[in-house]
Amino acid sequence: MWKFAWKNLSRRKGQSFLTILITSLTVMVFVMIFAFYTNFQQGVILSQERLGADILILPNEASTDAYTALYTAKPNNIYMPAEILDAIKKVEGVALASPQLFIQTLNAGCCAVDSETRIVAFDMDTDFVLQPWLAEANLDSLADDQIIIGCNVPAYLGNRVGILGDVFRIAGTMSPTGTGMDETFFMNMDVAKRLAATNENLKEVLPDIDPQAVYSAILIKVQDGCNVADVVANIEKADLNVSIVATDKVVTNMKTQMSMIGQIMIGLWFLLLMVTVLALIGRFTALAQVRQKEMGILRAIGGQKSDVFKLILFEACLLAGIGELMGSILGIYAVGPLINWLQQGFTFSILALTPGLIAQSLLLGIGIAILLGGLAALYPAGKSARLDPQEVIMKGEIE
Amino acid sequence: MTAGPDAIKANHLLCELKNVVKTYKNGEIVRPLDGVSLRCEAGDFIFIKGPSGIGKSTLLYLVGGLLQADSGEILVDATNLKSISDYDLTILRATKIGFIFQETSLFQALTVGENLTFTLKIINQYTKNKLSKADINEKVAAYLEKLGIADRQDFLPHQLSVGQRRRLMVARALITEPRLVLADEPTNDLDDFWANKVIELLQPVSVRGGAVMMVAHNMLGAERGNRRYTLNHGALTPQH
Repeated sequence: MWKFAWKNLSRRKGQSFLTILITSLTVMVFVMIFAFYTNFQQGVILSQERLGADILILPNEASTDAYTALYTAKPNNIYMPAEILDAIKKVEGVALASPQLFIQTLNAGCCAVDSETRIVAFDMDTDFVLQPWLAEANLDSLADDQIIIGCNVPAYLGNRVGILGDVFRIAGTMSPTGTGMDETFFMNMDVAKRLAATNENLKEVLPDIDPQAVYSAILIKVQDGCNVADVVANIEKADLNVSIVATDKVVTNMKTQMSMIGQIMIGLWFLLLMVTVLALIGRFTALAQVRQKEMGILRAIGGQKSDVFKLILFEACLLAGIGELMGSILGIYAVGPLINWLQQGFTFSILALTPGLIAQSLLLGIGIAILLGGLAALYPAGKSARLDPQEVIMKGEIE
Repeated sequence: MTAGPDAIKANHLLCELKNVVKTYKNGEIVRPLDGVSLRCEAGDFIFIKGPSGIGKSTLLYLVGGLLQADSGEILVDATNLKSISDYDLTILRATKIGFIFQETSLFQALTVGENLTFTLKIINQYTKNKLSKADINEKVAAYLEKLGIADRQDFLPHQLSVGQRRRLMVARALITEPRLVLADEPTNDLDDFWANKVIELLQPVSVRGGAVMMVAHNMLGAERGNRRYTLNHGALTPQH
């Protein structure tokens, strides 16, 4: 019966094409939503795992946005007095505190970074966030002419890059984090301070800032056994006029927002699924109607009701299967550009597609296709099987 | 099922209609068969003539179990068609009856050869001595040759002429070697040569112990019938 079903489809290309198209589009949309949503969620989780800090201290300025600071590579020139670091270290529950200074590249000419990109300067002596990445790149420390680049920063001139008039050697590339770190330059704190103090162009961007006396962020690791919320409360009590962000809270907020977006996406897709099922029911019913006489002939030459039922179901499954394959492939191909496009417009943490996720999407696509084909074919298959053969053969034939 | 195809012996009763009534209610009430009785024994070639629309096809569909009578009894191979399940009725049709329908009734997505192969494969699932693939191919080739459409084996039905389609339908009905052939205007659309050829091909069915029940609106083939009837006003009248 499979062979018969296949011949019915392959020799009725016009009819089959439309059905395959409907199925393909639905599966494609599903695969895109699934791959994108899953990828984004994994990015958020990865960000949390790799961020390393429990609390982020930022200057208490209206423009300061923890989300932007954590997840984007947008230059974010925010500063607070350096003395705050000493005060923070004294707060009960703080195990480690390490400062960072944010500066930026400038629109420049040939052989240099030609767009405004964030530079994060870190203190080699106290840093606990970037150390694991340095270790991964087999580096104990960074020389003054060395930098580390995020995984999405393109290499310039081989392994060198010109930043603010100086040439730096690229000591290593970070693994993907799914955050703004992927598009960031990392350099020694002392070097960054020197650049900020001496580069005339940068001085224009950062007027009235003494780079020796400020930091942009302080990353805190709380002592083992201490509650992050308690330490945040302790810092608030110290009245340091700073913005205190528990990083898990940022991630939780992100997850909540993503969950809401995900629910909307799934809801819309479910509606699409319903519309598709209805369209396919109509399609398969019409096809079964057109071929009623053939079903009658099948019954007349010895085909059982179950054979008619199976034939319609097999045809639906084959159509859905082909639609699934095409939809999944199209979906996987389309989700890459979609992610790139969204990354440009939004500050999302998105990772590259992994083979595992692709396989997962394909498998789920098959499940959706079986659901689509099965649901849509049940009614026409059952109806065709129940028809009395004489009714359909004798339509217009009875004397 | 009460008996297999081999249980039917020559000169035995193959089918019997006892006072069969069939009525259609489609706006007005039409009664094409009004108390029809008929016995069809092995070896019979029954020819039934009647004008178009008089109920000849209805009679064949009733005998083939494709239609149910309002009253009366229809027995095929000693089995009352009303007393068996749809499943067994399907097997009976597959193994003992060959239909030649009046209208084109082919699987449009299957080639000429595949239409015949598929029919044999369906029958194969009900028989003990199953035909091998080689046997099926051999049989298909033989019947296509007999009906003069061997060179059209790989054509789809819509690529055939009307007459070639008719011959394919005849081949499909005969290839299963049924005991009872129900032929509804089998010579329609055929030229004289092929009309006579088809009648010739039906003849051996009765010769080998089966029976043919053929209906037509003209007298072509009537001379082959050992029993001839006219159907009119719901009744069968013997013709001599």
